[in-house]
Amino acid sequence: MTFKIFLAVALGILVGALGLMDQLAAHMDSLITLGLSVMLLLAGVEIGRQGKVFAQIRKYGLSLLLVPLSVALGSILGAIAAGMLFQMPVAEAAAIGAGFGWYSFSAVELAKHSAELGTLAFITNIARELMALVSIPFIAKHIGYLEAIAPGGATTMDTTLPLLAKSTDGTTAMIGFITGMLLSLAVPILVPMIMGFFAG
Amino acid sequence: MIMYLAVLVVGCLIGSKVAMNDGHHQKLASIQSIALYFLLFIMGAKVGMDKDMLRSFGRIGLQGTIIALFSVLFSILGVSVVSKTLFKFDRGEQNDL
Repeated sequence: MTFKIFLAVALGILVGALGLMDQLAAHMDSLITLGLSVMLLLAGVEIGRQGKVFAQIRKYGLSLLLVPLSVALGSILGAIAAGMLFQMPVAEAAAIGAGFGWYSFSAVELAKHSAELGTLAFITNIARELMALVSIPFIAKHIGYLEAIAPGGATTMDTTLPLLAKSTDGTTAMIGFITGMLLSLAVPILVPMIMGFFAG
Repeated sequence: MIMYLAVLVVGCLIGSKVAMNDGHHQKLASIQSIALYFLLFIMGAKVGMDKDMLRSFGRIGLQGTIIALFSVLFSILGVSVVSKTLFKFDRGEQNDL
């Protein structure tokens, strides 16, 4: 499955770069929304079919919050560690990591500081989403279901959720959705806060 | 965000109320696979169409990719530590859609 995913993304990039879909440029977001809605509806059907999902979610209770918390901490610390290799300021690296894969928001927010930082945030977070798409089935199979939530970050509530649902079980998909939602809510708070905290 | 949540909830309701046999399940799995590859293709095309992104990718692409890789690896490590210590997770059957 990983190879097919890689192939679909690579083929898309190639077709887009060659300008073969330029006439559809204005409709790309609508097409993505349509595809996502179909995927999420079917992921929902699968979750609903497994009646025990909600009981399990209730059983975990607040300890569920440990998952988004560890993804958030890991993302930020990982970005700081990588930033050190490039002698980046800690605040800039941390803020890029706090994008959690939500490239449009983090890029726009960080472009306020510098165009280059905005572009780096965009590329980093797009790369994260692509890495998530390619690695989720592998991680689910070889490392663990819960770990498969980690690469997607904020995107586990939409773009990478269908793949998570396909590669794991209903409960993991639901925890992934909750994780993605909480991380998405945190991005607009954390990214400016990190930049402000270190700048001040 | 609200729309995606609503779609997911509607799906959950359908899944919990409508009885489905293996044939239906297989059909849904095929539709989901087609939708997934279509979505991935469109997402790739969107990246490919962004000429500014493609141009700057050569310059800071490596840096961005390495930051993303570290973020992903540290996140997996974080979840792994939590799932083996504080959070007792019961793994269910793979959906295998």
